[in-house]
Amino acid sequence: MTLDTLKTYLEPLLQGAWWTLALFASSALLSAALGLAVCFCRMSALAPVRATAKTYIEIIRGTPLLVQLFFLYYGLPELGIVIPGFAAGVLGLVLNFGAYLAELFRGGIQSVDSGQFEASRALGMTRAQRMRVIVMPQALRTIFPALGNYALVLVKDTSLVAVISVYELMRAGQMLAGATFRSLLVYSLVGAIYFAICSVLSYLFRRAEKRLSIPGYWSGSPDHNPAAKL
Amino acid sequence: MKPIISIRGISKWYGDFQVLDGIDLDVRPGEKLILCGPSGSGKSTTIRVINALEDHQKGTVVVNGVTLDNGATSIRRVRADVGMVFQHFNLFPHLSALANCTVALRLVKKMAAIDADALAMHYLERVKLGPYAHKYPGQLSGGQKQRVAIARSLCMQPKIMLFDEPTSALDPEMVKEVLDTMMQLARDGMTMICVTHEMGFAREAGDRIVFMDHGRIVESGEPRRFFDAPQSARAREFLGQIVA
Repeated sequence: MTLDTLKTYLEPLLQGAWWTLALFASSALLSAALGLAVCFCRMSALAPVRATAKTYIEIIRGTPLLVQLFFLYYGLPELGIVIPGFAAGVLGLVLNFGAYLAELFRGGIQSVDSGQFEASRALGMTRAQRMRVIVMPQALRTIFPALGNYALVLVKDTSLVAVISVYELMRAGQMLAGATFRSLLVYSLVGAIYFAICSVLSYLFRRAEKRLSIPGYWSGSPDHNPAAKL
Repeated sequence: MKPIISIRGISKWYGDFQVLDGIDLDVRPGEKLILCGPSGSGKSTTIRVINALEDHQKGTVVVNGVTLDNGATSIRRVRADVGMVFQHFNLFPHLSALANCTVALRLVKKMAAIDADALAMHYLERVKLGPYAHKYPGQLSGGQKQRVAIARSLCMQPKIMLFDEPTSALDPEMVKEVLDTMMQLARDGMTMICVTHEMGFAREAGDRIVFMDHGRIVESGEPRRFFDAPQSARAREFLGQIVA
């Protein structure tokens, strides 16, 4: 196979890959925002707010993403609610990852020592200041490796929106394979592109984790390995 | 002299369990008060009520003219006047020693960064930690951490300092540096309430010892009288246990 033929195969796939990146970026940002909001609802002092957040989390985590996407794209039109493909894809991914991130954030916040809350209260900080400046920076460092995991899962799960005919890398691959009958080549290339995206993302997370690390702090450093001493 | 802290009949329950049972306590400006007693006697809870880290169900607390009514305004005003040092330091591990001192100055007092840094350096030098300003808590010893925590509280320029067993979590060789810092603060005229088992410090720095048991004040008096001739059987028993 010549470089030229490789190029004719790669071009449409890379075009799809841009849409994969767009799906990933928008879903990542929105699901982080949703996750944070749901996380605070989940820890609210008001019981109904807490119960609503909990129900949402349980429903999302208890059903497959594929079913959720079908529900949004094929189900809702029967109720007169028609969401265009790309928007339905983003919405499905955001609703899905928002629920997981909410629980991840909650775990991070609850892992912060209660003494941190007390010291910041005693210094006169408001609840919002306490959260923003004292609690969240510590929670974020604790959950950072897990956050990286979710980011990689999200990149790969964007491929599921191909089934609701959203054009992205997987869909581009399906179309190309259908037209050329060279499935082995096409899906190898598709896999390689996902792998490349994930490798870059994984590298960025490792670097960010290093930058966030603090001398003498028990977590946040990828080189910190207490288990090695056991 | 008018008391700077006035506590009248405070009671507190955790569910059915009563932790404070009608505490009355006045503290004069500049007074050094030592709270002691067996664990679970309510001494930590008492000082945590003063800066509203704990609420109370009965009684009144007036701090520097402000009555604590569980409203956000009174709590904010009281906390501006009251500094607190904890048994486990509670330094912010993600901030340098300097930033630990400046974070509340900037957020709560809205101080400019340059002024906050200058004030924080002043107090870090006062606790003899100037060269450690840019270290993180994880790089400091226990005694150094506690001195940073003291400097962090002093930065807010409180009128009253609360100490909740400030040396109990320290290795023995680090107790002295923290007590020396507290002694210096006492000599400078700070109003201090200390929950402590350091009886040497209590004798030397304290103006008055308050002995608590089962959520009540059992007796109070000058350190010399308390140590040499405790009035209550409970205090005699307590002193016998800690000296032995």
